[in-house]
Amino acid sequence: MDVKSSLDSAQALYDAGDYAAALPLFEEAGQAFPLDADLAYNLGNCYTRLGEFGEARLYFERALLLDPNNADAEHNLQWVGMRLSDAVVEPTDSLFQWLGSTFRTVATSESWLMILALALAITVGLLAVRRWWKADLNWRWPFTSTVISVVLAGVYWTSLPKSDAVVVTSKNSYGYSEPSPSSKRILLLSEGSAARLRKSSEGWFFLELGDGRVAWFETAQWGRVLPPESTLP
Amino acid sequence: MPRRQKERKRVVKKIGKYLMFGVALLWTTITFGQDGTLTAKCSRTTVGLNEQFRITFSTDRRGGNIEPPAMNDFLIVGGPFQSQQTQIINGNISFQQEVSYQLVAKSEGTFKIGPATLKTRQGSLESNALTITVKAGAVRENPLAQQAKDGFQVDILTSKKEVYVGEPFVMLLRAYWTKPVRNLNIIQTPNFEGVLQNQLDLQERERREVIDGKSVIVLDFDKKLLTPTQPGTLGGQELKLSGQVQVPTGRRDFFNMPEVTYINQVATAKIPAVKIKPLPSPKPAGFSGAVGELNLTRDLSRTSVSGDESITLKIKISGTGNFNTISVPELVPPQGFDIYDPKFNEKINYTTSGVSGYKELEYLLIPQFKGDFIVPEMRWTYFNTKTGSYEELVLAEETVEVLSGAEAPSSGAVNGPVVKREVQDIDSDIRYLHSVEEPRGKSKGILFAGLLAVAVAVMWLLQGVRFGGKAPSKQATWQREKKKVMAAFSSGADNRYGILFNCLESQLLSQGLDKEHIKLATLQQTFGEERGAQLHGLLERCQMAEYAPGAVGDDQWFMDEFKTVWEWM
Repeated sequence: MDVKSSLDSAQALYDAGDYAAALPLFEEAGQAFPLDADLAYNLGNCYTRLGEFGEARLYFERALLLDPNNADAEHNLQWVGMRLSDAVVEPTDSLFQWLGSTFRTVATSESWLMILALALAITVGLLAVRRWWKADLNWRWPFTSTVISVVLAGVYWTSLPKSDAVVVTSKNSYGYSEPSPSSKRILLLSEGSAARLRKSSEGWFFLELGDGRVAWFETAQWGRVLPPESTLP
Repeated sequence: MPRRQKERKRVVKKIGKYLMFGVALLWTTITFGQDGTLTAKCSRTTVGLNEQFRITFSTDRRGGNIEPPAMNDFLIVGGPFQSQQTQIINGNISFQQEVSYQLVAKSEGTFKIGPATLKTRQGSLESNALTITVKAGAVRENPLAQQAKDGFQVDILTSKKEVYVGEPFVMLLRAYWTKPVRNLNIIQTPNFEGVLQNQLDLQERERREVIDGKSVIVLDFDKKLLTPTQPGTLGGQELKLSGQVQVPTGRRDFFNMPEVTYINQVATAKIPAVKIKPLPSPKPAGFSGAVGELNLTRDLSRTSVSGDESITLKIKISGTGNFNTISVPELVPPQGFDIYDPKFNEKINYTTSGVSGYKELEYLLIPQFKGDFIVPEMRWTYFNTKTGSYEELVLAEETVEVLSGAEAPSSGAVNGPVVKREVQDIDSDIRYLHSVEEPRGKSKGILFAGLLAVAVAVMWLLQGVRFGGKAPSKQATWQREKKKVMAAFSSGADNRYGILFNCLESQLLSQGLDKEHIKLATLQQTFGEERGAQLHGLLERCQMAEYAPGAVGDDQWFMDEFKTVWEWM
């Protein structure tokens, strides 16, 4: 079954209220296309219907990360947030992440890439004309277009979705002082709590909460808002 | 001789006599003062091990202080006792100063007490040294001393004979006597290494008890909590307590009352052996360091509250163990509550049977949001001395239901100000699915853009451009110069002849002909006779036209000539 028909089936099952059957189909597509904002949004919806609000939040966050203009994802994220008991201080975005989100609000990363490609093509054209047809063409024209291309490349790179945010997907997750279940428990976070990933070690995440508290958590109880393999183009 | 003079002479003689007497007295004092001795004497030179004896240092020299020698082999039970005495008998003045100590030997053997010293302005004196022999059985056969010994004893009591490292036990120092005792003085207390000692409160009060059928007075005078920090065996350390025991002499006084006397007595006792066992290895991860028979409890005042009520949560360690070193495990903070700094409560009893009581942290939780919140599971590991093994106590998760209050925001802050959502704007349900026509995968456009970037770099390399502001090539420069001249003539600019001249001059300069070489012969040599003459003529006319425009030909002629010359140049 191709992706399109699989997604159609998933939607039909969702419409019929069989969310449990629709979920694996959406998940399969989601794993194949982790950067699709609408797929992430649909997965969030599916998890919401199944009452798994931690997972739902994870996918709505992902949908918003990939497409900050996704108003439905924002609405559903708020809807889910009201049903979660978590209330930890959440980490704020860095300046770089905020810039990226702003650029994505203006245009998608792909759009920025197309604009960059256009600028590069214009630069190549100008340089070719100057080289072979019109030698007296002022060098400032291709130089300016080159500078614009470099700036656009920076904008494109910044606009690529990047996130070290993680969300509790199990009912709750204990924070330990060391990456070992026998070490001291120092925190308890409930489903849907978010934190920033600082480092990871076999089966363990070292996370930082928004208020600066840090602890080791078991990886299995958490989900990354953006899978690590999808951060680079 | 007049009477007045005689009277004066008599007075002078009298003063002279007194003066001489004073000088003689001073001389005598100084002379005798410089002699003087310092002697040391001992009440007995052979003493019993726990028998008190007196050592006295005396001198007849005035001034200065007697410095006693080191007496490291002896315990100073009493002293220094100082006395001074001045006697005048038949005009003879004598002086005596004494310092004495009451001593008890620490061990058997023969010991030397060095000389004491006395330093005054007249010089220093040294006493004789003393040699004391200490023998265990050398106590004098004195029935009164034996009575004193029997009537005054001390003891060291420990709450346990075998403990683990970290397991505390109590040591009690006790004196008891059957005969009245006065002037009690602690000479030596047991001292330990590798043991934490905590002084315990003790009411020093004499009480009467019956021991072995005898009525005795008991006094507990010191109580310590000992916590061993390393394995081994305690024992052997001594307690020494001195006192004056009242014993009857067997005689009666004038009123037929029995006479008594006070005998100095030192009572000694050794601490009974206490075995300190190591904790079993390996110690489990998360071991709290607590040792004993302990229990951990958590008490929630309520599990269902409305938003404006508070909850009291108590975490308590109770039982018997090393309360002086353990601390109550802190609460893993539950979400959804304001948690205030805990109040600490403790009640610890130190008895000869061990250390028992409790330590408790009392938290006040104020719900922030409506919903069900989990009070986290807690684990605490301690060493149980009863079972001889480590035990992990687990307090299971508990759920607290908050019946009213604000909805919990997913991006709010529990410990800071709560960010309330505009919940009115949120529909009662989530929004519908988005249709996905073609899922978006990783973009291939980056390859295309990358190729273009490489192409840009290559193209720049092919330009061979200089960025100094000059024309990129001679040809382009010449073209621009030609355009400039044509534009000047087309617009009829005032300086058009100058522009033309400069253009030709810069062209010649680029061919190696500077101003000085722009002569007919040079130009003909360079470009040929005809062309050289044509160029020279054009340059000449340009210079002339600058001063008399129109007199040397019209603009069209100049433009035609320039084009011709420019072509072959």
